[in-house]
Amino acid sequence: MAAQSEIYELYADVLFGICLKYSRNYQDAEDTLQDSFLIIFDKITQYNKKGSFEGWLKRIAINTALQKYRKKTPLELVKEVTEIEDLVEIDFKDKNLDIDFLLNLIQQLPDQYRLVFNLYVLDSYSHKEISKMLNISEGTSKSNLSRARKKLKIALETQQKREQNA
Amino acid sequence: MDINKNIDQLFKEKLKNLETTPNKKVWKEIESKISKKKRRIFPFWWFSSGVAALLIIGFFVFPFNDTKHQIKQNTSKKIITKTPDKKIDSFIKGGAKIIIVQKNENKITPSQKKLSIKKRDDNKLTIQINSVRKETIKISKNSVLVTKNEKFSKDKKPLIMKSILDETKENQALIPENKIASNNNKDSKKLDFSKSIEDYKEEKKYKNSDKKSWSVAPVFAVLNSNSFTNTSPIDPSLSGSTKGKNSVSYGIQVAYQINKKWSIQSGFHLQEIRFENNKITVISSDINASNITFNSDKNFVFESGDNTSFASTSSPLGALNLDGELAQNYSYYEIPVEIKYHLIGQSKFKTHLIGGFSTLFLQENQIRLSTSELNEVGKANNLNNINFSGNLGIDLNYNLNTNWSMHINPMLKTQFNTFTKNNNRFRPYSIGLYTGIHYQF
Repeated sequence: MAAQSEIYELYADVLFGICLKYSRNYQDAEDTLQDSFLIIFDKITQYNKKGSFEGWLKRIAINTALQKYRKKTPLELVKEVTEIEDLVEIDFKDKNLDIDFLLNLIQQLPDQYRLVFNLYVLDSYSHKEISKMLNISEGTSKSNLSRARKKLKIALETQQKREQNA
Repeated sequence: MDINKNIDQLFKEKLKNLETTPNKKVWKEIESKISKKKRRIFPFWWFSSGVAALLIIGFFVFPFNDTKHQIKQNTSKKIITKTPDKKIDSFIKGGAKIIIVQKNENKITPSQKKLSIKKRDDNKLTIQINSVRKETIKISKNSVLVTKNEKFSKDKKPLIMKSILDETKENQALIPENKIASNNNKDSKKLDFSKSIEDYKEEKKYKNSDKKSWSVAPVFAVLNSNSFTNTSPIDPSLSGSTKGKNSVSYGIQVAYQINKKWSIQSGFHLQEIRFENNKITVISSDINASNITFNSDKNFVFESGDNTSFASTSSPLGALNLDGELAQNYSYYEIPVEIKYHLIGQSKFKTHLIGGFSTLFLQENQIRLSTSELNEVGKANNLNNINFSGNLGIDLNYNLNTNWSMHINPMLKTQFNTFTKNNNRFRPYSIGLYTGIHYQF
């Protein structure tokens, strides 16, 4: 138990960060974190010392989150779109956007958009890898990403307008 | 694209290395789940079935304390073969001595035996073997040394070794370079050797006859079930009227004697347990207050005795039956693991103290309710599928002859995990008189 608690102490913060980004809300993130650690303690013998331990832990947390939100019904159709060029200008010079606000935006994305955006943008997976992880086509991954960006952009714009009006 | 990059950049900057401390309750929950899991990993009935399995496996692996096995064992130890400095011809034709001294490099138990065989009319072939009885084979760093001055032929060398070592491949044979090549008498020598081993085996077998480690016995017992408390596991209102009845247990017992004082035994038994409530009042009811599920889906309320004061039954009264009888029968497959300690007694008559526990797998579960008008069958819904009992008893053993013995064995078995719920603090135990005839080998 001591070893487990030590691992938890060391990595809970990092993994909880991941869980928050990949989950719908705080509650879900806590559940995912718990599941992740249970898997980690169960599979810890399978960790081969080739990669970094933290990387291994992160992958487990990500996979646990994916497990949770991966589409259960393969019938949900997503219209495939190629990159949508958006010409809306946003002034992002105001970089003082609150982390909580951004996190909230990500969490409010539809599950699959959120997962793809996280995997591609924040964790640097390729569309090819994402397509395998989520069991979708590369095209779907790309289109999900661009839709996610679009949604985020709109949300950011409205926020900006609100601030300007205020 | 720039805008996309912008967005990506923004989120990356702010969220890529997001770290947040989770609420403490998350760890609490993880902790409790891990410890629960750990407990599930090694339930202690696994231990008992494990020991039982080991006994059974051991029974097949080391059957009958076989002398053949002992030969292998002996030869797997260090063997020093000494012959006088003579040529091989004379070694075969007579006057030669082969002394095989087996030295055990591992622990030497006190039950050492020295055995010499003198065989062959012409050839004085003396085999001295210090055999050490050991049940586990440990083949490690065995080496065979043949003293240097011998003059073996190339052909004969492996021949001797082979017949001794047959199956000990790990042995390293350090054999001096041969000097004389003569391959006559090869077969006859092989014959000689294997024959003397055969003789040795037989003798050994004879000597070993009083050393029998295994015994197997069909066992039969008369049990009387009872409880430490005067309650009823079926219905709280029946307390005071539950009586244990006689039942039986039968099965097979396998025992292995570890040394003079200690032995271990296991087996497989069917154990029946019976309780009865007589002279009870039975009222049919809408609600099920007892721990019985009747096959007919009817419900009854019970009162002990025939003093018909139904103050306690709030249910609407239905048909009323007096002088009912409730008989509960359940049976288990029992796998005991017990240790036997030799208290007193010598060759013919021995007394052992027995202690251990049993794993009980629920097999039959029946409750029969009968009154003058009713006859219902059901089952108790509060019996655990897996139960344990702690066992304590005294074993009186009488040796009939070298192979057979009989025992009589009063045992007290206390159950630990009989009921899932609503047991009304009913703690069943059974007193049994076990008897059986053992075959030892």
